[in-house]
Amino acid sequence: MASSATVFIQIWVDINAIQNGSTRGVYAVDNRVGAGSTNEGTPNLLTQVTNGSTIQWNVYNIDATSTVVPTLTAIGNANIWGAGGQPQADGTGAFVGQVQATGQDAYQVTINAQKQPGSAGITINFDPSMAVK
Amino acid sequence: MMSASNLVLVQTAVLQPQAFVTIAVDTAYVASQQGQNISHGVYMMDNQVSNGSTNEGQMELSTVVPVGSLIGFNTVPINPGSGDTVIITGFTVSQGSVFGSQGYPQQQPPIGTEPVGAYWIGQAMNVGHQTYQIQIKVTVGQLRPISYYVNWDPFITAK
Repeated sequence: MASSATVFIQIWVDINAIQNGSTRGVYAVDNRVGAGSTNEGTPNLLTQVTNGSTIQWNVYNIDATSTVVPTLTAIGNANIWGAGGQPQADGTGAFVGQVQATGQDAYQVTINAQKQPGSAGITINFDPSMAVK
Repeated sequence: MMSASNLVLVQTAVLQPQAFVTIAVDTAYVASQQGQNISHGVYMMDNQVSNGSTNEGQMELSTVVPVGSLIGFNTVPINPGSGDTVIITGFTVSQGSVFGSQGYPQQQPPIGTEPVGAYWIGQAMNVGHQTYQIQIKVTVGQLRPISYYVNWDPFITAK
């Protein structure tokens, strides 16, 4: 069990579609639609959480048989992370963080992927949001 | 009577699909709805948006592939630590004949640590448009697991 997270955000990547500076082929989903999350399946996912929740982010290739594995490189700062600071890599490829302040913020996610093993990396930034109650 | 000579070894090559569909499932949401009238909590994405696929991230994904493509279908729970599982129990086709009989999806050996039934492959044998149904089995809870069946109608176009 990697973490005490109760909120999970999966970022699915279409390696055939990704380009530098574009969010085409990037789809984010969470396990909080029952709590009112919206924009599921888009880079603009708005996740609804309760204050104090631990959140885990993972990025995956849509083609589960591919040897191309996208990586999560950063989750940016936002007021909702509070004094605990921004989410960090947990050593398994996931990022884990805790919301410690109420409100709604966008936060930047950075992922890196190659079209083929050994080719130049493509960097993608996108800004999903989180509403903390 | 069993002896080694009675065994027939069928060696099948590992198929490499040209197109891939992931179905990510919010298992807790499906359970909260008792599996009934599910219009959220099931998200389909493919790797064919450059080829013209639409409705990415929605239940009614419309996948576009070149004719002849093998299409992988893989189900995953969004909460990996829950112990909840999602597998595909079957496919039907209600309109059109992209799979035909020859390309009708077959269950494959699971990928990694996924449960048996999570991974299937179909083949787009015929040019055209089809409406098909996927049925999944969502199993929630470990002490007294309960399974819910969900099915819906996405699309495939082969060109």
